[in-house]
Amino acid sequence: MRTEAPWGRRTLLAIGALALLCVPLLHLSDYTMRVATMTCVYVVAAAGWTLIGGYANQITLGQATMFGIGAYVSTMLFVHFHVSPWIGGPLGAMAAALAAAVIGLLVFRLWGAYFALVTLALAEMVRILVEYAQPITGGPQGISVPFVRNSLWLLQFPEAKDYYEIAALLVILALALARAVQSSPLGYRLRAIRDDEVAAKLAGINVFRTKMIAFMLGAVLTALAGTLYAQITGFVDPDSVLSITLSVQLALYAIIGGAQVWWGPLAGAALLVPLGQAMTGSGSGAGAGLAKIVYGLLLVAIVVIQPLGIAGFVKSLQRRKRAAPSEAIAP
Amino acid sequence: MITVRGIAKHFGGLTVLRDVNFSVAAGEIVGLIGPNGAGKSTLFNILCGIIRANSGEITFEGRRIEHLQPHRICESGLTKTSQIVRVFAGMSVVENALVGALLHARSVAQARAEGLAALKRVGLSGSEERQASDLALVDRMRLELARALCTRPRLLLVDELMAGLNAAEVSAMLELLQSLRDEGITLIVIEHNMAALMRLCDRVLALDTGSIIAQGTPEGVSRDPRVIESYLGEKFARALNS
Ligand SMILES: Nc1ncnc2c1ncn2[C@@H]1O[C@H](COP(=O)(O)OP(=O)(O)OP(=O)(O)O)[C@@H](O)[C@H]1O
Ligand SMILES: [Mg+2]
Repeated sequence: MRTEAPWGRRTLLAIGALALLCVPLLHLSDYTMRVATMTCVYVVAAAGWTLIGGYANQITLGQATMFGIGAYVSTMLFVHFHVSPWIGGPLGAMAAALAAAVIGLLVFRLWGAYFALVTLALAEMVRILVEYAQPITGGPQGISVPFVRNSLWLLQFPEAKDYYEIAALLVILALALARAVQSSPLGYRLRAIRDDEVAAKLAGINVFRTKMIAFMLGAVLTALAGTLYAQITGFVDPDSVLSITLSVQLALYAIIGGAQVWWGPLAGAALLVPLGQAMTGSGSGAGAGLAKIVYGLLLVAIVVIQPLGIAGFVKSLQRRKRAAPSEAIAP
Repeated sequence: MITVRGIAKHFGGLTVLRDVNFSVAAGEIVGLIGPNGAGKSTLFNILCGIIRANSGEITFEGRRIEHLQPHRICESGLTKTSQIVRVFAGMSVVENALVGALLHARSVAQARAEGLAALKRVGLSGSEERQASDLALVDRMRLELARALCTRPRLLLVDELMAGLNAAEVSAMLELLQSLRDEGITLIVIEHNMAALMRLCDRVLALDTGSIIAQGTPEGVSRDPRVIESYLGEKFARALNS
């Protein structure tokens, strides 16, 4: 792969990014554009999970906390103090990074062996706290984001599809970051930790600091997705942005797509978000039940056949293609 | 270079190290021998900070290190290769070496260049792009050595690096280790291959029942009655039986 001209690969990526931004030119239905926009939101959120869950294989089941902090901080600032989400979003991201620092301190230092369970438990605690803080968070009922006016500064548009360009831009930024991390010293250190933590220490890697950086960076990405989600849906409640379901979904998008590579969350969310939307759209009754069974079977099939997800399929195809010529000359 | 005083380690009720004392001067190659389960690997893990001793002091280049994290100890110039080989299985060979070089290199490209140079030294040229998990055991041991070298150690601990090598490979490995010493790397070598140790080491430490029971020249230690009884005798007995 390294023998390829680097500009060739870059051009390909630039074309891909441009294509993502040009999707609205296809004049798809409002419903399709809404799904595409939400897919973008989840790609960014899952990319945040990938940095720690995929690159370092530290499976967190609490990433919804970061999404929720992003959604709640910007929304509360907007509702109570009329702060633009362009400011509230980054503040939410900072708050999420801080939360990641606290959670990371607990799990990476003290309870490393139970990382998945502890992150899940802490996420539930955050959810309960938010439900108790009714006066400022709206409690279990949540808060609506009042529609003020159609305005880029307020990040408010009449329809979900109007958010598409911003969501796509955020996808490009998030994946560019994930890709940069992957080939940076940080990326190599995370891979080393994923493969063998003791060997990583013997190679001079500060395992704790490396995990912390990845966890905090990932928190920033997922929180930004949370802010965008709140603006698009105009409504935030614990069930939609702080639930275990959301945490599991984000992990699933990344794992199904292939959590060890930067484009895994894109592949996973692009496959699963539309499928999920189609299922909720298919109403109730036998049809919907069947759809859910098929969805579940699909997930199991992918994980069983290729634990490294869609990216794993692609990689093994590439390897087979490269191996083919030498097989031809073998007796 | 390194001074170890009063190291003790127990796992639950099992006392592995009772009172270990020795020191190694800069530029030495020191062998560490002892029967299976004597605690040699445990001692290496303590020196590297991978496990903590229950008591004792370790002074490395004038600085106490027994409380330091492993990555700090590695930064200060002390690392090891593992008896049960530890490579990054999901990475290519050159990436494995590169990770060690990241400790000092300013960029991934520079680390890669250093990694390639280290691979050449240990005889892994031509395998750079292979998956580390595809290598034979002997080559994975070489790879771990290359990765350790990339961290630029001044004291390198080598845990049974010659197990599984044939005679020619043992000779090549001895030459490599000697050339490392010529570059200023001090070595402590755990090895069951006594012939190899005799050729390589300036001095040998014998560990048994939790402490150093004998030390001196390889010839001297191999004639020491306690060593013969506890270790060499056992080896001879095994050789006779097989
Ligand atoms: N993490 C651990 N927990 C409990 N016991 C351990 C642990 N590590 C080592 N031991 C025990 O400590 C003793 C010393 O083990 P160690 O691996 O240090 O021996 P060694 O001298 O390297 O032996 P060998 O020549 O077989 O490699 C053994 O009895 C071993 O079972
Ligand atoms: Mg051992």
